[in-house]
Amino acid sequence: MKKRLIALVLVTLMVLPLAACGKKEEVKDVDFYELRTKMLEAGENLPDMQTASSADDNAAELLGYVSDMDYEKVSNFFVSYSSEGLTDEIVVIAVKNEDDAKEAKESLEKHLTHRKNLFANYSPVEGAKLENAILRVVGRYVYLIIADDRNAIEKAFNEMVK
Amino acid sequence: MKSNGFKITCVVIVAVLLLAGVGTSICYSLKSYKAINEYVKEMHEKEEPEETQENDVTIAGSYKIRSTEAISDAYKSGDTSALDDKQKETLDMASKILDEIITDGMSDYEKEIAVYDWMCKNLANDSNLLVVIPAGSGDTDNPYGVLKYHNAVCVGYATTFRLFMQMMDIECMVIHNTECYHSWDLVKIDGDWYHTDIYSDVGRGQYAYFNMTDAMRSSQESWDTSYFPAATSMKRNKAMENIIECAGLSDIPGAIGQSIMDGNLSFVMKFSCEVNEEFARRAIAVIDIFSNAIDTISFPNGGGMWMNGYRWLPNDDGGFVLWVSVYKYGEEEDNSDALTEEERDEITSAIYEMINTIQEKLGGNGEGEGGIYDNPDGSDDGEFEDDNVDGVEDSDDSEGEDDSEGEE
Repeated sequence: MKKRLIALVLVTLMVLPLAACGKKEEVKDVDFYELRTKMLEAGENLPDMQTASSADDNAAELLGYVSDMDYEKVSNFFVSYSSEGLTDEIVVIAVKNEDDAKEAKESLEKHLTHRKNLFANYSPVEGAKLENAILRVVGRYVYLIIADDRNAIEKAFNEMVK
Repeated sequence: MKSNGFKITCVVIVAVLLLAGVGTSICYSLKSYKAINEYVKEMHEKEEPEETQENDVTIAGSYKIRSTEAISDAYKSGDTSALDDKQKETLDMASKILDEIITDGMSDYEKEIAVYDWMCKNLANDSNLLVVIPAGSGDTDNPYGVLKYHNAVCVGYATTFRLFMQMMDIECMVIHNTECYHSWDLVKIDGDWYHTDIYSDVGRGQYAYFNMTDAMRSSQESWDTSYFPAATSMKRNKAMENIIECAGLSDIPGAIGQSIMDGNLSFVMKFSCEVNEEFARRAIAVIDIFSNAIDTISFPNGGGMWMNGYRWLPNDDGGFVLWVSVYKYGEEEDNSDALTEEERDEITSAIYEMINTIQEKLGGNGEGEGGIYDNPDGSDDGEFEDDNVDGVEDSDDSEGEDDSEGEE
């Protein structure tokens, strides 16, 4: 009886923290170059795109254009953007610790607001696309997709990461 | 004995759980305290907005408005000893341009137009402004880079225009909007201040953003009116040079259409009928419909146009005028050879018929008398008459109402 009770208490103690933390989303580690390629391929109507990524020498500086989060917390990222100054943009940030995903999302929200303000002042017609932007967190990944083919691009992301 | 052991075990477990609970509570409290502190600090910062100033303001997060008075002072005094090499080169470039475009005896207004024309013709908008990670073209926000590379962002246009004005002893300020996303100029001509935004006119409209009043500018932007001087005079506004005399509501569609075709994207309509509150509202309602229709215009290369602003403004003669500004983006392609002469005549005829129908609906006589649009070939064959009034109901009531309101 005593052993059973102790076992029950111990099991409860083990399970409680899991319940408190909630269920974490299972995601795969992916090759970022491949992820970027697949997502860009899915965007059939994307204009000419340039890419900056964690592979660049000045990666921390480049990420600073879209996110003000501490680069030490980032394990990988890429930013693909229209070289002609259109709104089209794909950003994926993988953080080292899943708890920092929220911070990454908030930083991309700020970036999106900045882009909306910029286009409202300089190119309102093109800026309309920003209203349909997709910004989501999946596990330790955060992604922002601004494109006509946003659903197809998001699907390509999910197929690789989930 | 067995019972005692069980009790001790239970007490230990409860004690451990309580300790864990207390520990967790302390951790969460500390975390919450930190978060609240940060929030309070953030709110405190938000409550104390920075004081408005003309210079040392960063626009769109990247471009800084800097004073260029050292250069204009050196131009006026002829003493360049206080300038660095970059400033000397800027002065040299700016002086050469003024020598080229300014002639003796020009008024301040004529000088302003000369500079505006030169800038609109010779400078181009830097597309880097909208690129997420801009390529390093540099110096697009100051006269040195603008005059050297002829590529500018809004701050570059504004500071370069101000430099020219200050070199000629014309008062000028660089003004920015409340959100710090755009900047343009306030220039004082013959004792009155006006808004001039060359960035928005380059490659688009002729003088659409030239010498605007506060009322006109506030259609597009907001700014700190307690800091920047008020611009209320219509005297040197370009739209006032494009006055279209209208008899009543029925002249509005033709006036707008003709002005756009003539390339006057900023113009005013002056009415010979009484402009009372009811008439003013009805006129705005007509332009609302036009505004929606113009939004649908698109050029084959992706360009188009929209109504940038329209409102009643007090005229310097004590009356009111209706100001309209149309914004055009992209370039129209020359498709003049795409239609045969016969097709062109037929379509032109149909369009005039349609406009006459609109005029009729608004209370005009629909036969061209006094209207802005007259069918150039004088024909009234009615070929397109029915086809072009689909969806527009003939309503005696509405005609009657408009007759009483819109015409003299």
